[in-house]
Amino acid sequence: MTRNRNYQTRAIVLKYRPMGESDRLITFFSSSFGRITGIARGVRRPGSRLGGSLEPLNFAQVSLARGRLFETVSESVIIKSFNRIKSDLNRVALALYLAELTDSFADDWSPNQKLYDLLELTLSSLDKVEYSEYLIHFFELKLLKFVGYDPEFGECVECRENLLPATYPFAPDMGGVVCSDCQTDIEYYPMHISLGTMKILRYLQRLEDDEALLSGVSLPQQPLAEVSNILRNYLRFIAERQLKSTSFLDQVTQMPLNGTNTPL
Amino acid sequence: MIGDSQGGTPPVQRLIDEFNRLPGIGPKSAQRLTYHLIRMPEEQSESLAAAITSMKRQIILCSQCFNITERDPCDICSNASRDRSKLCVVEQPLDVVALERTSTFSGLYHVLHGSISPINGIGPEDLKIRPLLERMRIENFVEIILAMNPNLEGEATSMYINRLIGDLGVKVTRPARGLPVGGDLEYADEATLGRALEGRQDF
Repeated sequence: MTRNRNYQTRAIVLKYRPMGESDRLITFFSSSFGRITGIARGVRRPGSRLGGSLEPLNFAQVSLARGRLFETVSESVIIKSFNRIKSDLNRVALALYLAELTDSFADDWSPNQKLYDLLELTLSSLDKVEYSEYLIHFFELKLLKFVGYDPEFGECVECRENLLPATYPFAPDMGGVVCSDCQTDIEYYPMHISLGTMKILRYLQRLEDDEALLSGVSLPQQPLAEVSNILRNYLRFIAERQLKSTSFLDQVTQMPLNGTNTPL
Repeated sequence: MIGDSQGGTPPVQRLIDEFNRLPGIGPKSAQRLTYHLIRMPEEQSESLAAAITSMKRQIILCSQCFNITERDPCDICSNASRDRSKLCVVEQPLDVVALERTSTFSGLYHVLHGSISPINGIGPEDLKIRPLLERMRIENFVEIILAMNPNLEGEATSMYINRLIGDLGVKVTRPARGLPVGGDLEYADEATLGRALEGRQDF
């Protein structure tokens, strides 16, 4: 999509890093242009007009000016700032993981409206009073689909035969499960998916939106660890690196809540 | 010829490159500083060079608060007139300088040397959080002030520390959030303005 000298777009702030004396280099995921990197000048000074609106996880209407290497952020107005997420450590860790996933899989100047809507929807759900622990896995599966790596859990990736109810090995390099006839060397497969987990993965893949995760069917808690392990391994294989935010996420979710745990 | 016979960078270009690495200094400023130094009397440039090397040799981290110092413990930690019941936790040594300038805080400090930034791969283990917990076990603080930057990473760091120390029975506070002095109300963002209204005080 071509862009004017000055243009506007809705975007979510994925991350930033300090630059120079008081500037920040901000990575956005925008609805019209995909991932954009822009310089926000003077935002680290207190009293900057831009400052508060360009925090990570904010949805904003941003005005940008075309630049040679990076765009320049000229104005920004918050659309949603997700205060409940930001005042709860677990939710912050989860939301930053979603932001890093999006950052890893989105491309510069390549709009992906479905992924944009998914991120907005998932963060909005995470901002509600209650959220399902499966929300993150719903996001992971939909993201994989929207960037072209939808894993196969319904049939064998090799022979395309439907699978009988049983435990099957999952091959990240082939993008799905392999039936017993097609398995070459059993030690080749690092992960196996039990029947219960497979059903949950298929169910999450079929879901149109995340509403059903809270209302209606309640999903069993027991396969959560397995679902999480499989998706994380698969994502790591595709991203070709370990995502940085996962270690903090694990640390926070395993932390005992013995403190007051009130939002600071 | 300025060029070199040993395969290194010519001295002028080398200095320009060194300046260029400093924060806020671009190639043009680096050139200007270098040419200023060329015109400078030799004793002045030598004094500058000596100041840089001795600073690097003499500066250490205080074993108690982790602020940069020439002596261990640092001037603040060893000052008997400071209030030892209050501890202010900050991200950077420069934050201590800023808070000291206000002359309203007389307690002790603890410098974390950063904030939790999962997306940049900086976790709690990369900061001075463990020494903070050790310190709290040894000393009898009544109040811990979490003065992290008012951004997402600073908040995440505050929440993380609060969760760790919440059960130690110490009062945990943080500086108020609100409108900057000399600022314009209409330009304040929703988050700041909202916090400012929540924390309003009697006139």
